[in-house]
Amino acid sequence: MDITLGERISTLRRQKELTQENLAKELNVSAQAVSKWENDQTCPDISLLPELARILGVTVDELLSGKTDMREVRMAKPDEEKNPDDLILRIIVDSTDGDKVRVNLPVPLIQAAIELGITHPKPGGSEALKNIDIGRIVELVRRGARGNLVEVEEPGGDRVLITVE
Amino acid sequence: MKIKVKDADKNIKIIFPTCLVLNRLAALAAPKIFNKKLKQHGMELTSAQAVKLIKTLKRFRRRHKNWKLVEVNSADGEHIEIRL
Repeated sequence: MDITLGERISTLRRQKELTQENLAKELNVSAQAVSKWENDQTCPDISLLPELARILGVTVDELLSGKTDMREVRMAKPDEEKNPDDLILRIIVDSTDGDKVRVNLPVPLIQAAIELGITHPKPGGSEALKNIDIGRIVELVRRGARGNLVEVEEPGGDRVLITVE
Repeated sequence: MKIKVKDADKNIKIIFPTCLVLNRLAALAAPKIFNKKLKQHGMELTSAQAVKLIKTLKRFRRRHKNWKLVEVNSADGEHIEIRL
């Protein structure tokens, strides 16, 4: 099950450190309307989407699909820089037999784990993750790298993706 | 913490306070529970380290309520989800 539009709006709003009231005021709607969007009871009006996406710092496509244009690794711009404590490392494993594993790990938790010597996550039993140096990934993230940092296709057809957002 | 397990004939939802899992007592018990498995991977967890991990997790959770830690969808329709 993917993240719903409401969850996406809620996450992006919090990342921008906006309250529901602030967002509602900028869009000229009520705070209750924003609350309903975030709880997936209703959807924002189509005419509000461009403005909503602009406020949340994404494109309309990204807002609706949840897929950010991160085919390549990009460096975070200073004005869009998130608090490093809010960054999430998503490990996505899609196996050929149809199993899908999604693990969302906070970057600060991984940093703490690395300091403790825990560096070999293998969600879904994927062998591809065994040889990935998570420490290097966290170092890249600390330097501002965002997007799809790792994409591995195993010989068996399993696909592993590590994304930071 | 919310744990959902759903398959063709079962739909289990378990909801309990996250503080029952993420607390000092759990941090003290964690090494005894996990070290047997961790040692197979050449790692060892001490109580102090578990306390640090739990503190980090709690700090993150405070900022991101209802955060989805794990989601597994199997090919035969099973769905497992853990939210903190």
